[in-house]
Amino acid sequence: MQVFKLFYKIVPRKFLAVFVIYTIIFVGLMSFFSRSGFTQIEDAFEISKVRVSIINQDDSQLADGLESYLNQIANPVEIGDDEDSIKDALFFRETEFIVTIPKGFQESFESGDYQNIRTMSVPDSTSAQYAKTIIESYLNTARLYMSAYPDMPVEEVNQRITRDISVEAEVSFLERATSEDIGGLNMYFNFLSYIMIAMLISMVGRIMLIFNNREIKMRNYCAPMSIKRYNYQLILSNLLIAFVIWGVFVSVAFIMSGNSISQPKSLLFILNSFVLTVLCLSISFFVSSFATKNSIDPLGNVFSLGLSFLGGSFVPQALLSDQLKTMGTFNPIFWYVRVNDIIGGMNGATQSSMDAIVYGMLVQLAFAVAFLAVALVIIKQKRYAL
Amino acid sequence: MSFHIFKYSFKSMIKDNMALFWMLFFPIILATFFNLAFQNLTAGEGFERVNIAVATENKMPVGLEDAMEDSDLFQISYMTEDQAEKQLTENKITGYLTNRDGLEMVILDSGMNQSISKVFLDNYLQVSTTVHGIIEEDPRILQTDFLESINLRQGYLQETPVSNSMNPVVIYFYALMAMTCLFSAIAGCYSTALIQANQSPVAARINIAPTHKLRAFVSMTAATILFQMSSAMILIAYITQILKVDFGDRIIHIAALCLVGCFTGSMFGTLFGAVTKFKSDIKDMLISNIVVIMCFLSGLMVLQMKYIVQQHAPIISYINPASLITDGLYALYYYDTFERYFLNITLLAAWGLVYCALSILILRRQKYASI
Repeated sequence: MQVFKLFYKIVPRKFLAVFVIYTIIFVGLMSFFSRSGFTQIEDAFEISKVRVSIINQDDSQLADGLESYLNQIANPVEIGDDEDSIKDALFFRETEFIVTIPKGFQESFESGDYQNIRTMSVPDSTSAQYAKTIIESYLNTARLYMSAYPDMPVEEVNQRITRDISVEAEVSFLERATSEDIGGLNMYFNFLSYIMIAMLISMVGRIMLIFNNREIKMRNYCAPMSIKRYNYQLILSNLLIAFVIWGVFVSVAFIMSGNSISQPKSLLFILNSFVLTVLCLSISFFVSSFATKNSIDPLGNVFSLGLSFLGGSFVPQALLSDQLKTMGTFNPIFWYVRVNDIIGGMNGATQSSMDAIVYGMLVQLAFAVAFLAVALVIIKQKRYAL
Repeated sequence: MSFHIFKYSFKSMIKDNMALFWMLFFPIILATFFNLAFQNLTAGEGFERVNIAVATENKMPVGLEDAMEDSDLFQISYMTEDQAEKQLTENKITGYLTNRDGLEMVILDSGMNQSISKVFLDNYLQVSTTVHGIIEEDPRILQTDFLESINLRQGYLQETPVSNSMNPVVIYFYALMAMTCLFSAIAGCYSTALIQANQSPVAARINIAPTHKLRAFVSMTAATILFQMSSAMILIAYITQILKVDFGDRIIHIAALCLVGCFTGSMFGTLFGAVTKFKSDIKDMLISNIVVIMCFLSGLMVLQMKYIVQQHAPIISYINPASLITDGLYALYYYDTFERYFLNITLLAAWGLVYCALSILILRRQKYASI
């Protein structure tokens, strides 16, 4: 087991730092994303909350009533009231709808010749339409009362509106399998594809470069050990390190999200990421077969970023352009993310979705075999060119 | 002599494949990926009418369909409940309405469109409850024109136009520009190694020559900045002309910001090289990681990061050169006035000068009797 031992002498000395850095970056990014990601969905209808900022300059009964109604049904976001912070907040979608209730709004509303409420939003956005509907709904009811009872004090109007708006339309769901929300887990495993490739290329790829060094190889081949044994030990060491990394990230996934590991969807995610590990190992083997010490960094970056950007690890596949989806057929990561999304979206284990999942995994394995085959050809060519 | 050093520094940079890759090709490749992947990122934001079906088995409450038509929010289709159910499972419609024992909306999942429909229906029911309540309390009101005056949609709201340039995806490209400019730090760090006699044999040779150190330093820095500026310009040309990303039309301002960015970047690298004592490849690794972290804080990986930093730690956005470059470009794109842009470019230049002064103070007059 000399080769195996040598391998694991190199790893802690040279690559522990790489491992730690990648893990920290990954966990950091994931916990950043998961602020909104890991939420439990309830059975009942959950109203979408649009992010609304209210600048109430009127401070009258009616304005306050409207404000508290909006706060209930929307997600209030505090922003500064100078122009720059309003514009910035809107640009970065920190808030989606800004409502300014002008001074004297209630008075003018009572008189009928009302002042308009000023709004700011991303032009033509769904959230703006939604917020408008909410505000109009409140003011419509107020107007009704005021035109029916011109003498009614505003406090009473407000009370009556509050009573009336508790009337709600019936909403029911068409047969929906209720299960644990795994959107966060889905996102985590999609993102994992980038980390896996980047990490395996920079670790396994570099170690292979050390072993592929001409002088070292010449020295090793004169040892009284068959090349077969030598290669088996190398393969074993590579597999071991890949599976350790895989194990670590799978455990992190369930520690971070708090989802249970035993439900069928989790198991499918784990299985798919296992296939991914084999695939990434094969890709890094391929890269290391032709990279040099200088070019492995650029190559590794281009491979990892390219495959994952175009495969949908960062941006949901649904948002990719059609052109890119067609190109994705040639991208193994695209298949990996697709399988993940099918797992995330499926309603119970139906035959069609299981078929798609198995098919996707087989395609990934086929890619793995293809990369490995090309790598072996290159390595063999190089050996004679020694 | 100055020109001689300048020429050869520049030549050696162009011939260095690694430098060429990281400083020119990598940003271009990344820009291509951004463009391909983020094309449709904001497409889901635009409002399209909600597709809703009305089951024809039962009659809908009076006025509801008219109100829905008037609201401009819905695309209504009529079909039997079975058909509607089928369309719903195929996700062709958002939901459908039935009125078996009271108005009911059937949907598949919670979501924005579903919420809009629900709030609208709620409102319809509320208004009818209100009207019924009012009539019950005082039936005489029917004789007035009260019922005619009911209108579910009135113009209470007035939209204040913001800018039309509202696509947040450009921040990724701006942060990428920042990264390209600041990668000059790597070259800056390298130029310290070429000028400081104890750091490399080349530097020892250069120091023997009777050229003034400051002169050699300035020439090298100029070469670095020229090189980096050219790659930044190529990147801008690529992003705006080939990828067609909107950078606004203030091209002179953008170029000026990039130039200052390259200067500050290379000065930062020089200072880093002068202060730290590591092996050259570790220095390279550290400095490029620092640049990438700076860019992360200005939104290279997650664009909201820029806003979060600005809100919670504004001081960082004034210290971090990457934030200053990104914010400057953002101000040019989004704001009509130049105040914010000038604030950014001034701060950026100021930091560059500070780094420059510190580097010169550290590097000057260091002589070695033997190395």
